[in-house]
Amino acid sequence: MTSLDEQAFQADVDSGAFLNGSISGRWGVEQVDWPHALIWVRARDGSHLLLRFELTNYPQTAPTARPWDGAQNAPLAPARWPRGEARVSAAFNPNWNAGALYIPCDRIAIQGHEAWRHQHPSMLWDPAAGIHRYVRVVSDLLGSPDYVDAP
Amino acid sequence: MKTIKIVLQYEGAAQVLVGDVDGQLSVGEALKVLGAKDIGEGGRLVFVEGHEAPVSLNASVKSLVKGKDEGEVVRLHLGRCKKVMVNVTFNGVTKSREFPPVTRVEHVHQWATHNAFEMSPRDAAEHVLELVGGDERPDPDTQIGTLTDGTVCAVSFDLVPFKRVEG
Repeated sequence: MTSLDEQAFQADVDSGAFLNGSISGRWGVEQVDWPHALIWVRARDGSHLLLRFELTNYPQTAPTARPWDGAQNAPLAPARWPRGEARVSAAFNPNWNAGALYIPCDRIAIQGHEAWRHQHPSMLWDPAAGIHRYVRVVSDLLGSPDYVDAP
Repeated sequence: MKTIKIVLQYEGAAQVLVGDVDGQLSVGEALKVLGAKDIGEGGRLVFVEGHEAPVSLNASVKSLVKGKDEGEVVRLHLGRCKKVMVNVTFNGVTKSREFPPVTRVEHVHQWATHNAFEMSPRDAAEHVLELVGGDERPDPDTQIGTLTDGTVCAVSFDLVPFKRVEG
């Protein structure tokens, strides 16, 4: 039987707000193996970054995600993480934590960063907005001119 | 049967209806298939992306499609505003222009950064439209008519820089 948190997640990815971005090719769900989901986000060069989300107790608990190598079905090697000179490298920083993104809507990153709640309100996890919030933040990052595709 | 994907957004609502319909259907029939309410009532009009004027409910869906490929997407808007006055403020200067309500935020951003404030492409991509009086940053695919209540046909944004997350 499908758990309540998985039902909530499925409802959110079937919602118009998420589908609207999918139709525009901004993001999409590749696979769900609860409590994990693989979701890709398009970068400004047209490439897709695959993220593996951990979604336990969704949406009350914020998710966490890491770049994923779909071919190897394994974490993406740090050398292949998205790079940039400013906010992209700050968000995709395997030296800080190779298992999460350094963004306010990430469950791991928000810990110990209470100041972010007033510094970056539009990037905080919002259960009402759901997974759409997280992929929108990543989409904005990968659409930045600061973004440089990994070699 | 040619199937066409419809994306419908409403005035004043975050809700988005998405569905595949038979291209032979009229716009009114297609909206019913999608489960849309208040079709043609209370002065509500239907707009299609790429057109300034509202479309007839009797027009066929396929007549709204520019190409002939499968997988075509028609973006529609249902609401009372015929035009939406958009005000964008950057560095204390406000620029304004009217758009059809079906216009997406992405297009308004393009106008604001390129035409109104003449930013470089790099600077443009480092700024985002934020609704005045809050911290909401509507999605690039959000139609500006959804940001009105259908009676006051205006939307005001601040054009703000993305901030690096640090600390």
